[in-house]
Amino acid sequence: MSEKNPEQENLLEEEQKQHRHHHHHRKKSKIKPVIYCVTAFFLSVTLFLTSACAVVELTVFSKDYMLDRMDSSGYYSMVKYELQNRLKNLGDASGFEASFAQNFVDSYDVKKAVQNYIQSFYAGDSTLVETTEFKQQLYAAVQNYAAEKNITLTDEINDHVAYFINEAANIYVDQIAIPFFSVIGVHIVNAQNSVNILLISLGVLVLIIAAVIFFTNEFKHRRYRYLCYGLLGGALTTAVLPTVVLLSDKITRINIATRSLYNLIVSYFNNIFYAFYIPTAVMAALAVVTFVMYAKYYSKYRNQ
Amino acid sequence: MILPIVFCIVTYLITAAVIFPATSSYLAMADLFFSDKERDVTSPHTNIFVPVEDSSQPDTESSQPKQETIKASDFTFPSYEDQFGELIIEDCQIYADLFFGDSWYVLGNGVGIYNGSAIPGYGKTILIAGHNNTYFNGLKYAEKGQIVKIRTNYGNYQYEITDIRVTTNVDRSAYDLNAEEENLILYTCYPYDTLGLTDLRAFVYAKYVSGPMIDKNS
Repeated sequence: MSEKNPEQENLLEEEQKQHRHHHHHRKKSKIKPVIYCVTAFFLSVTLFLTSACAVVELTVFSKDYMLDRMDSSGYYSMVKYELQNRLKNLGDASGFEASFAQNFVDSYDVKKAVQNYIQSFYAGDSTLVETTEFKQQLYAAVQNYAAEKNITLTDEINDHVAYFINEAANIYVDQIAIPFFSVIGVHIVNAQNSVNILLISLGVLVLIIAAVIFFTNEFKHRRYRYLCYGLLGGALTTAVLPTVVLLSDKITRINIATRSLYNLIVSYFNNIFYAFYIPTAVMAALAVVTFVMYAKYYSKYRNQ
Repeated sequence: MILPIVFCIVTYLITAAVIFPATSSYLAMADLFFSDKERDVTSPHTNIFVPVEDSSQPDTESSQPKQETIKASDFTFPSYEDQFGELIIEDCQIYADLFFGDSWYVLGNGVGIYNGSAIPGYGKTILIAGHNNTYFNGLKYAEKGQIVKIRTNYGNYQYEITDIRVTTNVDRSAYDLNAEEENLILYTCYPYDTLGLTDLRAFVYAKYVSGPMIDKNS
């Protein structure tokens, strides 16, 4: 048995200490990546939910979005065309010539009526279409028509004309109003506050999760790596939903008989799904930035 | 960089697991609002009417119409708003394109079969609408015994007018859509040639004379 001198003992003790520390450090580094991966996953999910809420906020709850879609899908001119033809059709059953309906329906009046209807809906007012002015204008047009054709408006004919005007007003309401809009609309207006609160909460949650990843990581390259995972995960998740819906062509196969409404609904929903690509692009761009930062700090770390 | 893909898949798997059990019945119901193919909004309607040779002329020896049968699989059934024939009543000066359906588009371009009734040759009630100021204005001259001709993309038919009646638009006794024999009903707004609208309708009833019957089992 050889005896160790104190110097040797100290060295051995130091070596054992370092070994224990190193072993402990290795044990810790196995758990940490898992925790940060789960945190990055939560970041990805909250980013996706935030994007979805933001898209809903900027489209479904937006009056301007609806009016913009109406403009882009040619809704006003199509409504005018359909109203004209339906009134001509009613005229065919009521002794009027085709020119009567053609001359009566005015593009500006139709656009104004549709916009009033949409604006009152988003303001939370009644969504009934006002028909008093339409009826008055139509009755004046009938009187002019009768005068041109030398037709005397007897009491009996006036009754028939009143019936015609009421039917025409029903067609007018049918064309100006959007079916089921007042039914669905109530829920949309009521849901707006909840979605606003949800959007703010999710935004705060995103910042908290990002801060946790950023400030609790001891190595800079790892901070950016997990942020990059979260951002890229969020971008992918946000992009998949609209891509699947748009590639399936489901929206274009919706069964709506009225051409104006079909064009509006297809344009409205397609653009909601296209809007998902905006947050996707933002997240992807941020992911690229974080990846560049990760690469920069990782090379520094390796060179140390 | 496989991790973001895993995140995406896991997110959708969790979403599906949470949402689908509660919404599967609603999703199945929502499917009813979608058709198999994209709607063609460029053309207002399709014209599938190609006249067929008249093969059901009355037999000269017996003076009885020769009744043929055609297979349902041998011709194209009209879709909604398709023009698939023409309707002629020479005595009333009526010559109109015949459509399937009675939308404003159809009635602005001809006469149309109410899509809750049958097409000619189906052995049931055929209910055809037209406007009193345009294509069915001639119905004011309708009389018993006059012949209504209907030419379609699958056969030519003749019906004989048996009755004319004016009633209200809510009178359900004016037509029987469950009748088990071939019969034709034409209807339009009433009165003719006057300004304004009423709730009265003129109905013209006709019985089947000739034309190929459709074999529904083929």
